[in-house]
Amino acid sequence: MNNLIKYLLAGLLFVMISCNPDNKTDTDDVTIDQKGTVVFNFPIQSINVPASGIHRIDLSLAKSTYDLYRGDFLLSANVSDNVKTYSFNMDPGDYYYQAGVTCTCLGDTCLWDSFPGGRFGVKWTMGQITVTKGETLIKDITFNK
Amino acid sequence: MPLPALNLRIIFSAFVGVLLFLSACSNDIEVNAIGDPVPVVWCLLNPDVNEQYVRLGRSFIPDPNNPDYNPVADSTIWTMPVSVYIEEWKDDRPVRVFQLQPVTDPPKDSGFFPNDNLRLYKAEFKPARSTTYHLYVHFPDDYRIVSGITRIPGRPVIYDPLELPGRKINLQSGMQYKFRWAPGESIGVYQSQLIVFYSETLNGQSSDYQACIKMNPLLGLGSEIEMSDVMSGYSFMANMIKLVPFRDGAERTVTNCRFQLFKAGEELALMISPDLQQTSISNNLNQYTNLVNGIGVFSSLQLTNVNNLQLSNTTINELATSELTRTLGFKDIHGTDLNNANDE
Repeated sequence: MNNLIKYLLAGLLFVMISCNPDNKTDTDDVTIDQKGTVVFNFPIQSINVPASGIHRIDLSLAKSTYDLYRGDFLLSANVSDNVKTYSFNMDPGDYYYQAGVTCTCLGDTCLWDSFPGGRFGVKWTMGQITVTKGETLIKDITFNK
Repeated sequence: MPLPALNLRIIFSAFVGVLLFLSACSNDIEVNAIGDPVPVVWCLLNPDVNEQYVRLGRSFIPDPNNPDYNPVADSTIWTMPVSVYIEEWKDDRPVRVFQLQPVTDPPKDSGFFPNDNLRLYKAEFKPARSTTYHLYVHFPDDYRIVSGITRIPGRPVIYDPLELPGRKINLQSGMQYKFRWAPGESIGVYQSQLIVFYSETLNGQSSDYQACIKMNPLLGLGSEIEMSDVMSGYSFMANMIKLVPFRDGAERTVTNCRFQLFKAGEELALMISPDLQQTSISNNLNQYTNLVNGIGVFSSLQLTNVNNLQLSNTTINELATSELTRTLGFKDIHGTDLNNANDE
């Protein structure tokens, strides 16, 4: 009888251990740990025009300045007027980004906010970032006034 | 008074009483009794076009022993005179009336019903947005009027995508695009689609084609501030493989894209969502209706286009170079057809 109880307890213990749902079989965590994150803070800045007349049009990353110049981007964000921050999970390393905004105000309003050519003119900014493994970099995007 | 005469009077009174009692207690109304056809009316008002249609048919009783048996033509049409008209209401009263006339020109839906015999009625007018319309189908010989009410939603507002020079849609693998729009009043169901236009050169001949990626319908009967639908890059690439036919030696270039958003009235949302249907006689027929004295739907449908959208450089390059799509022959952003270049 005692042996039977022992066997039952051993079996129960085995079942409990084998059914442990916390066992990590997904390797995503490992992959994410190997990567770093960059968060772009992309506000709409307007001085002389209404903010509703300025729109984000581009936020792209490339591995080199040459690729950036040729448009051979590694990643591009789906920029929107309703979204202010954009984050990317990337392999550690140096990257180059570009961001652009355009102006849709009528008349010569856009010229007052230094959009080249006025309406539908584009302001660009670009720079370098370094993504470090397991860390989050926050980058503020600003344009010349 | 002689006894037999009294008995006769009592028996007669009792008989009349029983008759009255039996007839007075009969409250069964056979709405869908066998042999009593019900008008089947479909009308989707479209505020973007100048021609409005009403389709009229009639219900029939299928043979339970032979469910695949198609109805004979005569059993699905009304041979009696019919008057179809639509009223435009403002401030709780009709301000305009549009009489619809029978037409035979447009091709009708095929399928289970004999398409040649479905009655189609047409009127030329453009319904106003944010306005209520009443539909009437009058059968003078039958003393029957089928009626329904619908409200045309206001003009839709799409937030994303926007037609802006320089802004592009990125659908590379691992990314996703969120289509966003404002839900309008009286709108119940939305369906979006992305059409990719591309040119193809094969044996020196150039032609233009398009691939239409349809999203699933979305119900929006709540009071959401913003509606959205997401297309993933993986799904986009998989759809392109499915929709663009392989042609050996073809060189293709993506021209641009168009986003289309269909918005339909609350009635269509109730029709396609059994959970949202209210209890009604029509539920016994497993069919939603917002019509009185008939079955079918009187609702609205409108379409908004956003044209001249561009795909991102990363999306174009992935179409040209990825294992999945490179056989389609799309050129990358520099105009290189990597698939055919490698063959040479």
